[in-house]
Amino acid sequence: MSKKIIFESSEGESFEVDEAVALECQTIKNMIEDDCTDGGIPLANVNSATLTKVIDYCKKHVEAAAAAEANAGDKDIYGANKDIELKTWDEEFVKVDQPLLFDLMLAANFLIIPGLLDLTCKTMMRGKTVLQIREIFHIKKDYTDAEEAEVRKENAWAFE
Amino acid sequence: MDQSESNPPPVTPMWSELYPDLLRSVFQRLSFTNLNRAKSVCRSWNSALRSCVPKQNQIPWLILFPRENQTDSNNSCVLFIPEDKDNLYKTRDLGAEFTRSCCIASYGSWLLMFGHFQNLYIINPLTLERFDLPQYSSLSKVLIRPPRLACLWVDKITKNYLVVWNLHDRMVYTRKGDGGWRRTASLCPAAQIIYNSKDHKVYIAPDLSWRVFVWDFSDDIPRQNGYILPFDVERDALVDAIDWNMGFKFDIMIATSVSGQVLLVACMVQDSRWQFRIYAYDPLTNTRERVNDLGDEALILDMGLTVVVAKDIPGIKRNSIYFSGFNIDHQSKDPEHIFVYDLGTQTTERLPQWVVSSAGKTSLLPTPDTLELVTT
Repeated sequence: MSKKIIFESSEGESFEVDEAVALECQTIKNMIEDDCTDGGIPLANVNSATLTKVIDYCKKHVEAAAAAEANAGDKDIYGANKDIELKTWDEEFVKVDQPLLFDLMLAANFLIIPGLLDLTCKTMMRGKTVLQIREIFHIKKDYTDAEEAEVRKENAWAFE
Repeated sequence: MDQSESNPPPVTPMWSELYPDLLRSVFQRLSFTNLNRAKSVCRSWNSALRSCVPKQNQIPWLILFPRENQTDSNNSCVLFIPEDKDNLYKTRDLGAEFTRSCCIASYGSWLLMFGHFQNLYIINPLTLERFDLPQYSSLSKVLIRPPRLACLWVDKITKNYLVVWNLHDRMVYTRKGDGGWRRTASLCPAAQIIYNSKDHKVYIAPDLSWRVFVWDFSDDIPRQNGYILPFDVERDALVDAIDWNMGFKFDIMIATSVSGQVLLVACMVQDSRWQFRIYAYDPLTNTRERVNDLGDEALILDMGLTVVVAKDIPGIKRNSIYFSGFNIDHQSKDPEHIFVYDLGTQTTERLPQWVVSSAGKTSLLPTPDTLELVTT
């Protein structure tokens, strides 16, 4: 019977997870090592929707790591076959709306989950044009047209 | 970030105000192309991107030089970036002079060019920065052909540079601020010149001799720092693989690894079958040790360097040697082909030409004269 850890979201909702899953978060790992997880861990800056996703992510990666260990040796030249399945899962996992992606990135940063941080950061701008990036991320263009033309000219090759 | 307490109407996240640490960690994961594109989003991104040095782009790009007789006379280079294989990129117009020059070495995105008037210059085709190198007429009275043997190093930040090439079997070099070329006293007919930026040494594999000369450029005045004798071991080690009833080609190439280690690569081709042995050189003990596995690195033999193969970048295989074959087998039937030798299975594959055909422009098939690999 593995030890359970209790997270509390910003809304006050409790989430019970296996210790192994919680250990995926470096921040929590440190807390567990310091033995200060009794009575649950309040995560005042992570809401329930985000926390649910974060736990999903950690669970999947714990399972995948366990499976990979069991099948060690069953690898192709590019690495484990399991990696490909996990990568596909990751890709599906980040197909979320922008606000959730934003929250996931902040949570991954706060909880220190390198894999999730990597995944969300990479997803943020993938395959988007400058205009799309401005639109999706609600960034106001603060260049004048002339300035923008200048910046684009400097990096003209990247737009060709 | 402040999130609403009770089920809120979804709050629009202020991406543009993402705090710098996190913004930087997003930028660090962008490809070189996307990083440059992202500069035009807004001011805060532009300044954040300028202050962060992009991660070293480890996968070499293919760069196709403009040709003089091209009908659509545009003097720009075509870039093929493996990470971004659906696109071909084009540099700005680099001028007619560039088209009439030929590239003799590269370092990062810098190219060492031999101009139409036998002048030498270095240029970054992405930023158009350029340095004209001193005249070398005092060193050579006769007209020379474009040197194929040279090495280039440019510091990313200070833009200090070093150019070493082989003129009339002597090593000549110039650095930023030298104001002229200097020549070494000893004869040193080279077949390959490699600069190792980690130890500031130049490694010269001479033609028809099996010593690798080492020149130390860390001081003001470069000095020869001994030599490596790679031959006996390698030859012995490959002898078992040779069928003496058939002709074969054999060569030693040098390369530097990502960590700055010097690699000696013995290559042998016989009956279209390639074999390689890699040895790592230890300058402290002056010994060599066989390397059976390159781990997560791939060796780009013609460039004399290894690259780290990131797991999520398709198209390049770890623990492999990429080579054009032309350097060793000059009579090679298909010099334009790039081969991949897998150290694990010890087999060679011809690299599919998806490189070019995926862009739907098969007419851009590279030949060794017009093609160079650069890493940014």
